[in-house]
This record gives sequence, C-alpha cells and structure tokens, in this order.
Amino acid sequence: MATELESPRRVAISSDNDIVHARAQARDMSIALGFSSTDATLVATAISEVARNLVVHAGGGDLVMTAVADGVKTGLTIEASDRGPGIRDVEAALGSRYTGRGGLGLGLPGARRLMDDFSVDSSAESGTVVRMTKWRIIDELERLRQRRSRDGLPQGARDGTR
Amino acid sequence: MAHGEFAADYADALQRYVRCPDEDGLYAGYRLGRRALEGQIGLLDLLTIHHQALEPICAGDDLPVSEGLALAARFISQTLAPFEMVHRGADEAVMAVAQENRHAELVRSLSALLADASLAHDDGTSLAEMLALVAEQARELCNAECCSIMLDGTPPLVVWDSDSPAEPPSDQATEQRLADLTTLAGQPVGLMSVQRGAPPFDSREQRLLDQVAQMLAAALERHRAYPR
Repeated sequence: MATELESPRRVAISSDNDIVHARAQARDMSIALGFSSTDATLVATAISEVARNLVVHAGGGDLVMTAVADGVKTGLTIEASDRGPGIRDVEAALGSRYTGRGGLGLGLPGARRLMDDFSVDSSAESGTVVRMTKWRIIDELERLRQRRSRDGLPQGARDGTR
Repeated sequence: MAHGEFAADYADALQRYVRCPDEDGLYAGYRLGRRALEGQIGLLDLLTIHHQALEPICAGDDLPVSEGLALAARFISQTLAPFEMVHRGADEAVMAVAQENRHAELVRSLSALLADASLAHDDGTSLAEMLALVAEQARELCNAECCSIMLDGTPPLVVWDSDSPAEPPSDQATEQRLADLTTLAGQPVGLMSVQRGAPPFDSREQRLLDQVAQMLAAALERHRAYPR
C-alpha cells in the first residue's frame, strides 16, 4: 500500500496555461523524487494528454499530484477527474481498437503506455477519474543513505570515510 | 502539412525556448511533436528540421554553444515524446497480433481435436482426458490460473497453472469468468469457469472462453448422440 510523502498538489485545468502549470509542478516533483530527466519528460507528456482530455471532452477538471512511496519504490501519482459525460466503453478507449485522434495512439492509450500504473473509472453520472503512477525503484545504497539521514548520523559515519 | 511552415514554427519555438527556458517552451515542443505526428512528418524529417534550427543557435553569441545544445536537447526530447507514445503503441500492437495468431492456432488445434475426440472416446477415462485438455487450453487462452469444467451429474474437473499455488489464499480476491455449456438446441449441459488473481478478464478473454465452451458443448453433444 502506497503512502503519501507530502501533501498532494491540486491544479484546476481549464486552459493551456493550466496544463503548463500542471506540467511544471509535476516536473518539479519528479526531479525531487529522483526521476531521470527522460522520465520527468514522459510524466509531463502523460499529464498533457490527460489534461487535454479534460479540456476537450469534459470542459475542464482537476489534476491532483501526489508523491508516494511503496516499499522499495517511490513514485508520482496523478489523478485527473472531471464531471463530464463519462466514457461509454473504457476498455475500448484504452485499447488498440480505439481510433480516436486518427488512430495514432495518443490521448488516454498514449498516456497509459508512458506510465507504470493506469486505471480509469467512468460513469455518465459521476464523470471520469483517471489515476496513473510512474514509479522509480530505490536501490539498496540509496535506501541506506535515506535511513542514515533519518537517523541523523554524522556525514563521516554515513559515508564510512571517517 | 507543408514541412516549410512546420520547420519555421519549430525554429521559432526552439529559439524562444533557448532564450527563455521554461515550461511554456517545453509545452510548445510537445505540441509541435503532436502536430508533426498528425501532419505525418517523420522522425528523419524532424531531425533534419531540428538540425537546421540549431545552426543559428550555435552561430549566435548569446550563450555558450554547449549550453544552447543542452537546452535544444531538452526541447527535442519533449518534441519526440509523442513519437515515443506511438512507438510504444506499435510495439504493443505487434505483440497483440502475435498473441492473436497464437490464440487462433490454439483454437484451430482444439477444434480439430474435439472433432476427432468427440466420436472416438468410448469410456469415462477418455472423456476425462478430453475435458482436462480442453480445460488446460482454455486456461492458457484466457491467461487464467485455473479452469474448471462442471458437467451435469459429474464431479467438477479443475486444472491449475503449474506455476500457480495449488490453492489461492482464502483472503485473496479472484477474478472469475463463466461460460455456459449449451447444446445447439439450447439445452444446458454444464459450465466452464476461469479464474485468476488479477487483472480482471477483458472482453477478448471472455469471447475466447465462450468460443471454447461452444466447441466443447458441440463435442459433448456429438459424443452423446453417437454412443459406442
């Protein structure tokens, strides 16, 4: 079960400017979590795709971004929610059968392929919630450093160089 | 889309980003990547356009060349990200087609086997063997951990994946799909089920289970119509 590392950040999405703001927030969080610049770019791209969906199909919505940890993994979870008309066939909208955007594989299927976890809940009554997470495995050395840092050991003791 | 117009817009956006490297600039790069895909501008075209747009950046004296190149690399990474989505989608499609072909081959083999076996088996032992084979194929086709066949009046036959635990933990939620075994006349003769821990079965897997159930029901019907 993933635990939150800090308070979630929420961005209301109704325009391109909001999407840029959400991308900047996500990039900051990704870098703080130790993601590579490539992974930070992929996260920003996935956010752009789901945020565009909010604007185009639901007239806007909310993005909530949360830094999480789960055992040896740390990650960034993004939840996009709207009160739009819902997706009639979620499985089709996420799969290769879907031919939206000219069948290029952008939109929700594209975002799914850039992230590690991806789920969609949708209904005509309550709208759509897309939840996606990008994970990073924390290696043994990093875990040791984090533990020592938490325990407040002096730098020399941490490095074993004294 | 005219490549010239796209190339001019790309050069403008790249120069703006190098002068003022912010998220607005990277978002412009992402949108250009999408536009390139929708305008059928290929990767090689895009790289040529990027290279041409780099020339004034390298020739200018506003900032060190290495810094300009590093910023340009960040910009084109974002422009290529939509291509990455499409590339991953193509990989996924190739794997899906390979899996579909394999499933089609399995179903064909099963169909041929049931056509022979339905008339050939003459006692309870060979019927059990046939059912075990069908259950194993259905389990594999549906990517399930377990498949059960329940015929009216006989104990259920259960086949497990050899890599799965013999019994799932009692507190573990399992996904299950069912298919009726029904004769052509609509008479129910039993039930097939598949189950696994996660993820939920999709509609394609349900269709495969239904197909195997139909073939098995037809084989059982032939067996009963022509007893040895």
